Amino acid sequence: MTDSHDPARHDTPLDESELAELRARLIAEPPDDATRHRHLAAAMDAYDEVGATGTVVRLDGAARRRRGRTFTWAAAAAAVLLVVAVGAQLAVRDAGQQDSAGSAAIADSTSPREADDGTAIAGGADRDAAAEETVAATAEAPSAPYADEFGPGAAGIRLGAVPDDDALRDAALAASTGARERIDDGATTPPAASLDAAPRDAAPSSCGEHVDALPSPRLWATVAGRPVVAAFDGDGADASLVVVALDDCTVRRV
Amino acid sequence: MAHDAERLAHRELAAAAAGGDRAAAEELLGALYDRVHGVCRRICGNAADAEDATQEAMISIARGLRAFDGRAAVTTWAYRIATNAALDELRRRGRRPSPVDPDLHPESIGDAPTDVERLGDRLDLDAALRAVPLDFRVAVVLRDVAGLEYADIAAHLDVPVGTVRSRIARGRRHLADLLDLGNRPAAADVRTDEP
Repeated sequence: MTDSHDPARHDTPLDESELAELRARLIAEPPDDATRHRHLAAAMDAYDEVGATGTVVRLDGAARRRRGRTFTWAAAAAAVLLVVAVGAQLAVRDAGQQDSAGSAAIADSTSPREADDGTAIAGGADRDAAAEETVAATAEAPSAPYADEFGPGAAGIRLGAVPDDDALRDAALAASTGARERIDDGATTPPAASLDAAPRDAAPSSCGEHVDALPSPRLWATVAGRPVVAAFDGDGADASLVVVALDDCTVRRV
Repeated sequence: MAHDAERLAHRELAAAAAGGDRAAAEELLGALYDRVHGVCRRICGNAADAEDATQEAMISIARGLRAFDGRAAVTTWAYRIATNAALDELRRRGRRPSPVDPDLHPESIGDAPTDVERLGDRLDLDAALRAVPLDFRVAVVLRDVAGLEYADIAAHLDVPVGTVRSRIARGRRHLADLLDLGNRPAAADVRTDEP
């Protein structure tokens, strides 16, 4: 038996036969056919669902436009991402971690060329308005303009749940696909937002008036560990996003 | 080369799937399934969690296909999603009781010695994997199960290539020692550091 407690041994590479045996041991047996079929059927359902609900929404700075209509699902998806970005900014500001190197890294990581899961941002100018009115979140982190605007932390954020509205929840889930937290130095970064922890009960009484003043629908989320509620105030091009941070009752208008 | 041909085939299928070709999506998902499962299985370290992670990963991949533009290799992209799904599953597992592997039930063990041996190997491997620090385990799995290049792993984990090399080397050594490759490990040699 080898001495696995010998510190020097940790850096000893495996010889070829050991490596070959290890790799052979690591080959996983595939699951049974029923499980495989079930998983593939679920995946195809998801594929069909995305196809049926429309297209992707481009959420770069230039596309953060608001159409002169009532609240649309596209705006809802945008709101979710904006909440994330604002929450990230709040978290980063509190942590005092903003520096130029970090900004550069985040700007790079949020480049619209490729989202966190490798999915490039698609859609955009050639998409018609009708399609944009459908639920249309895609796998993407906030794009570069958001990184510039909100600073480090705008990427790698997971979105919070909107439990009372299935469509919004789906949008949040879809968007979160591209905004998973980075695997950082082996220890996974704690989720910035939890999909199952919408903080409806988190609002202290002192925040009540701010929350009550928000128009409906409202987005409840935990972003960068902070519970927030957000809503669009106004319609069309004049609408602004109001974000209430529930832990300190600060209100931001974007 | 077969590898290049496969990559090209995947790219073509992904492009077709992005354009709404359902049959292409189905074929591509089927081709990716075992790989995704393999990564999830070895990162999770047990069958039940791996199943959940695999399903989540496949759904994410299917959703992402509509927007996939081929800038990354399909398999590299899929492995990244699978890794994230497996890590998410491990995180969720920390908030609930550990699943019971159905293969642990005595009635599911066949009479033939080979079945028992295979089950023993599997349990040893699962326990050994869980005993290896997660960052080492992920690096080893991405290299020795997924077959990713060091640079791809480094980009995926957002760490320098040197760190990846170190993690892989240490993770392999740790696993090899725990498994005492070629010899059955003593039970006391395998301990887990995860719930």
